[in-house]
Amino acid sequence: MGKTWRVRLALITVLLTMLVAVSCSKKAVETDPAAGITAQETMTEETSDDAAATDAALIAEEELMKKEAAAREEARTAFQDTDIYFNYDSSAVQDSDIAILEAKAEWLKENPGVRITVEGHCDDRGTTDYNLALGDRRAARAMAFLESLGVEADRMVTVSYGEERPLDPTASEAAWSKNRRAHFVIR
Amino acid sequence: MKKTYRIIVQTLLLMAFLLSGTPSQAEDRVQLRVTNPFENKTPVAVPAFHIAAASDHEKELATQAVTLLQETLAFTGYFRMVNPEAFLEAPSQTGITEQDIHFDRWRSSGAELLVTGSLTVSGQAIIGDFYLYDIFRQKSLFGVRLRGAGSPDENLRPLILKLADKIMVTYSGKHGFFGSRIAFVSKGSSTPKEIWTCDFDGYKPAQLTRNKAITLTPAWSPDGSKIAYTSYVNDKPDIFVQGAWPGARRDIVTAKGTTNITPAWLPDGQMMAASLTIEGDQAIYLLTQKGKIRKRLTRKWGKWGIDVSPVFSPSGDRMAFVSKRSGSPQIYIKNLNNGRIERLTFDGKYNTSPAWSPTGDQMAYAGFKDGHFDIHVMDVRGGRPMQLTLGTGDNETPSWSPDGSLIVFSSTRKGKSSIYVMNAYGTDQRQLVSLPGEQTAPVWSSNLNQ
Repeated sequence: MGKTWRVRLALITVLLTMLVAVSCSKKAVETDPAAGITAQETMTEETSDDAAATDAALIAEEELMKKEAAAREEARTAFQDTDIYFNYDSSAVQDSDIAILEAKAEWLKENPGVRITVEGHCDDRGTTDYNLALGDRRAARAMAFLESLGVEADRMVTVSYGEERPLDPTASEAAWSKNRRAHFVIR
Repeated sequence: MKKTYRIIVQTLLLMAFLLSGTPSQAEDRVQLRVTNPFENKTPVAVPAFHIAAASDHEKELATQAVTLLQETLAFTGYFRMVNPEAFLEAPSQTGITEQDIHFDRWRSSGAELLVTGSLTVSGQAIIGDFYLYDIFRQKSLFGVRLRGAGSPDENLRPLILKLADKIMVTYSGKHGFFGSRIAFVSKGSSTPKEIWTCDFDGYKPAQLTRNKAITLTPAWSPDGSKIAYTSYVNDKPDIFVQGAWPGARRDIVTAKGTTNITPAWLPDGQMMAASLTIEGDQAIYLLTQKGKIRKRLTRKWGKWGIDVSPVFSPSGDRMAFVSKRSGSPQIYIKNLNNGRIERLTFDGKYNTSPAWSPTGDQMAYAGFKDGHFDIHVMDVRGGRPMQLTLGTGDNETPSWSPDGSLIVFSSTRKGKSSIYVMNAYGTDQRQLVSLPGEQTAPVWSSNLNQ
């Protein structure tokens, strides 16, 4: 009994110490932005090649910050703006879109806090009812593909818009192929 | 040209089929009678009604009554109105009862049936006395007194529709559809799709749902009191049920699953079927109006399977639905007693929107061929489909009138999609409503309150 208590006490002490340490470091990041940057820089140096590291070191801190923010924004925009496309009456992911999905999965892994909605869309050469189902299949298969690349399923939801939200409402082959898409939205 | 010929042949064959009770009788009857009942319309004379006291208001009501009766009878497709210029008698002056009718003089007008009437308006009531005469057999088919309590302006229409139904029952032995309504989806230029309703003839279109979210696939409950539909009220497609009157409460049926769509009522009006994704694939389930799943109705045939658009036979023993199981969307029929599923459509690569005829023997559907959707009708036991629309844009989502004589559908023949109606043989196609925006997915209710 006494032994158990001692173990518990030791555990609580350790946990408390950890908690204090964590909250302190958090505070440091919050109150001192420079410290945060430094930490990031170190990370960059570790992961990128020597030339890039040298370049980065030469650029003023502020500029680097801007650049990184811009790059992050660009990656985020690219994630949302790049759709994948489907063949008529098909929900199969096309080979030509695998690279896009891989890039999306990478980005999602780099941004673990991000949750997304995968939208499935169809062209209007079909029936409203059936296209609602087809849109669901397209979104579900795109999501399953991302999941197979290591993105946690609980970060993703799907919604089918069937033929209700065409990108291009004109009746042409070009418009139809643009409308048969899965679209990725950051929630 | 060849196609036209094929359609004509198919039409004739199917007409023969429709006219026969059973397929074995079809062969015998082909030579005897190959007739589209809507081709030889019965000529009807509807001369001006007599009015008891001739105030301007009463005169106006009497004129409206005649016009409405003429339009309603013509709408059925069974009748054509004889030009009043051919009338040699004016029953409103000389009398509406049998002893005042000179059948020989009416015969010369070319009419086979004659309707005479007298209207009396007294305060908040309207009384009509009406007679239907068979001009050839020189006899009265019925005489009836109809009353409408309340504002004469509001009660004239129901009173005349009651008269039209009496004429239909006398003429065909069956009730008409003058108490039925049509629900459809309408989209304004800046508003999402919502469900609207109107009378069988397009009268008084009014917005039913105010979901401010995409709302689709209306389905009338068998008694016409409720409409089930698919809506994005919660940012994803779910099924809802709402009373069929403006301002009625909306209740959610489903929430689980990503895509819950295409509700249909069983003939008992209690249970529903719908396509849900609760087990990953898009499959059809039997559920209560509260969304309680009772049974899965289509088996899982693939991880990415699609089964949608259930619709039941009038007796409820079979269910038609659309499935991708053969690779492209086709219509299948499941026998609910033995569980057997049979594919119905084989013609073309995209056949959807099954609509079971109220007579139980026909299936109307939309088939995609040569870049366009067209309405087809075929025997539910299989065989060759009869194409009812051709060369008029996309024609989709057929739905039968409660007596099975007409089919309402959507068409893009004038550019923007609108609601059209035709008879079950494909003739007499005309626009039903004229509204701004686009109208789709019409569904015909049962014949109510008559």
